[in-house]
Amino acid sequence: MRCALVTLVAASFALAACGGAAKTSAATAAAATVASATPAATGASAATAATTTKASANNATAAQLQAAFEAAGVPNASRWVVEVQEYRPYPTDDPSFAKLKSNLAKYNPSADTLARILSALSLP
Amino acid sequence: MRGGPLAADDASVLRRSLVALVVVALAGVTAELLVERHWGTPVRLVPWLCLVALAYAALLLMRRPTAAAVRRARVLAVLVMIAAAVGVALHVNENYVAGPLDQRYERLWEGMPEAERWWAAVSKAVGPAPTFAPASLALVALVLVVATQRHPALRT
Repeated sequence: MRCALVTLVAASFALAACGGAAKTSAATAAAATVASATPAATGASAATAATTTKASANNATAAQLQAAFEAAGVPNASRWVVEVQEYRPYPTDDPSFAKLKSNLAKYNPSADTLARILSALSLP
Repeated sequence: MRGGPLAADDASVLRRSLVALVVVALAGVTAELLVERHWGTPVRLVPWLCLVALAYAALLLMRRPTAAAVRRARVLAVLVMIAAAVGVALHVNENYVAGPLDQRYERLWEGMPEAERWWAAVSKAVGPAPTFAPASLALVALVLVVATQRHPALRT
């Protein structure tokens, strides 16, 4: 029993140490996101992307979303399609896509990429 | 053993304390999964199944278990440990595939050595998934296994 308890305590410390490291990385990533999300970075690209074809955030197929993202110049469009579909449905009374933005922020996209994604989407 | 009074020797008290610790830990993991909104796809429901399995196993150990019940609890705990290991791997993979989406890596990712990419994923320099969070389930399962060490029900 004593041996088992020693193993248990060692495992607890190891896990706690790992958790701490992950949180530190997450905090660094979050800080990087805040630092990079400057209005200047979004301006020109958002205006350019606004003229592209839009796809429904809630109802469009993967192919339709990918076409819209590629038209808007979103890098790694196919991967972003997966993420947009994953967090459906999006509230139809939220044209600012707050839910989508908060979920995509976890991936630390550039402000330019985020603006291009949002410009390619419509509601419902 | 079932039906008799609760044993008051040191080992039994410690055993019951460990099971109580499992229950508290399960409550904590449940809260974490709720806060993380860990649902939406079938694979995201696996930790919830693990919680149910561990809760059932803890319940088995609380109620003056038979030898069969203790073995069942151990099997469930081992299955949860396996699921937790798979969970860690899935979290690392989730971070890996998210690598090129990160603004700091989107231009570097293609040119990075494979080992460096995986390290970035494991260390959560990229991606949204907390790498070792699923291991908390393994730890809870391990506590449960420890609580069954030299269990009196196994001697009868």
